[in-house]
Amino acid sequence: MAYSDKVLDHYENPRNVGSLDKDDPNVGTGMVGAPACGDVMKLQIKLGENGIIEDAKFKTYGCGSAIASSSLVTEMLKGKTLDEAESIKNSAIAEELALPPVKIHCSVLAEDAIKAAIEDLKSKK
Amino acid sequence: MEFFDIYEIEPSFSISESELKNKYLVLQKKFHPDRFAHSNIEQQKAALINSSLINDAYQVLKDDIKRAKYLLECNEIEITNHTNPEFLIKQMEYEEKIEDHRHDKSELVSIQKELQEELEQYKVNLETNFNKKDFERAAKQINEFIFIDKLHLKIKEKINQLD
Repeated sequence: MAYSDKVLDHYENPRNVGSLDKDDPNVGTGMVGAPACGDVMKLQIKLGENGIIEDAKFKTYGCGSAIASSSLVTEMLKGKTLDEAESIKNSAIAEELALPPVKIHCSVLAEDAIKAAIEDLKSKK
Repeated sequence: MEFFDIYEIEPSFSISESELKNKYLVLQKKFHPDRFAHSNIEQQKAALINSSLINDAYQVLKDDIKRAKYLLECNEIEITNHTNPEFLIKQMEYEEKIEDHRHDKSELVSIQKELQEELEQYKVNLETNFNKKDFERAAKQINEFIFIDKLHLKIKEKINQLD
């Protein structure tokens, strides 16, 4: 199976790899794992004073598509409100990266990670 | 439970590997398409279908994860994405540890043993829960088992590369 150019780009030059302070009240941490392949994904978002996501970081152990999905998501999240972030669908991620059907679950994992991060953030408020 | 029926084995997580293998050899011989080379086309077709079903069933039944998933599927239990942060953080810490010690064979071997022990414990618990028909709990355990199994395979590969 060949990866699309966009997947390869994110895989080779992942954006926003790293961690934010999980104890910061403005930081939400989402952790999810895909039992289909054993991939583990951590996604963190930092909310600014104005209610806009000002930073996003990720760390993913998994295949190229899982890494690309989380990398893309961190780019998509910056500058969005929580409501906008919550409405990001896995289909948008899959489409942007041209994921083949067998890799759709990687985009689902990324969507679940966004939801988990937002939930964690809201639970701190 | 068709796959278990084919092998005349009681549907359960714990099965005898040697019994399964023996039955596989017997069935495969009985339905091998070569034996039907002189039969009519219908019988040849039937033998081919049986033969591939016997194979499919064997691949599922001999594998702990596939067998557990099959049992859950038959009981209409779905395995969903994992969201327990504590468990996932532990998996990430394992990944980091493996990465940090990728050149240190003795450390890798000791992590491998640790994972192996965890897997054995999960198998015991899976057996208990499948026997109790607590499929919800079994689904949770097989979910975690898959992650640990993947780490275990990964570390074995790394150790082999160092040899």
